[in-house]
Amino acid sequence: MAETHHFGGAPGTSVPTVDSEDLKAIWQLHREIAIQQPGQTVGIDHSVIAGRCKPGTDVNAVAYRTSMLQILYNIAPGSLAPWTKNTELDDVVFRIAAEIPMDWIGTEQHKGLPFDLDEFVRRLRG
Amino acid sequence: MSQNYSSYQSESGDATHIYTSVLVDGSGTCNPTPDCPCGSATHTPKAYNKLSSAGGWGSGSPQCVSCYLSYQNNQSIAATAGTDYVFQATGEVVCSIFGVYFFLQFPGVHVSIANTKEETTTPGLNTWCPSTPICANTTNPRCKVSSIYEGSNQPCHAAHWCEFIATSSSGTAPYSCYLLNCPDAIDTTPGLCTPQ
Repeated sequence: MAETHHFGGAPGTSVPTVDSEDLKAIWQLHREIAIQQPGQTVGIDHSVIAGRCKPGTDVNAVAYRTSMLQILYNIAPGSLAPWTKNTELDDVVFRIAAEIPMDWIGTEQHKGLPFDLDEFVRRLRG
Repeated sequence: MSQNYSSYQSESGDATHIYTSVLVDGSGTCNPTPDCPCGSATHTPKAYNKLSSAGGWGSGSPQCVSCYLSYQNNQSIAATAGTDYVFQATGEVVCSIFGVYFFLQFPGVHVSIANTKEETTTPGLNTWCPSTPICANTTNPRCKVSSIYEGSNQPCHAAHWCEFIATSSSGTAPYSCYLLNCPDAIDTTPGLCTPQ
């Protein structure tokens, strides 16, 4: 039987909150790789991501929240514009992305992002 | 101040073209206070309609907070049968005092986890490791990578399971893929990947 693989928690359950500095570090890691390998689709070994985070960090939760922030940045480029300077995000964006309630998704299609975008923007506005 | 705004998207096509539209409309109510002097504020509708490489943000005219506003951003491209085209859409109302006041997540955004087993194609390298999918169930995985970063001067592992979040506007292909990470796989036996 062929090997299967599972990521994260059960769909619909809560993603743990993470340290915003870890989230920011992984965001920057993706940016560094995109600059070094422009136009390429590059994977990152788990140990590299774990090595950029603080010891004991839930690496899956950090990677998941980072990807959700990347999706928001790409599909709604205006939503983060007030908190973006020269393509760099303000620290408050990472703090909110690290803490906002968020659910795991699975391999089945999930309609919409698994967190409240209106709440995200409300928190940004303080 | 309260809001009553809506946003809509539509997609259509004929034999030669694809047409997309994004509409933002509605109005707010204004009861001025010292903290919220909404009587002097304006609201501006904005709609993002990106169809393949065409389009982008468009903006309507500023209106008073309680005035009805409406803005529609239309795009079209010449289309070829059998080719997938990506449609991205969102809508906003921007307040002159508070910035982005209303942000709509279109129900057309679908997300899912995608897994792809990858094998290093050139053993003995380090740092950047050329890679190709090894899937037992499909030749066309939903997401894939062409190389894997192992860290500076770190040897390439034989295989990885790469994990992604796949997004699409319709819940079907085409997908955009956002990498989560690539843990090592136990061997190079083809695995069950998430197909298109």
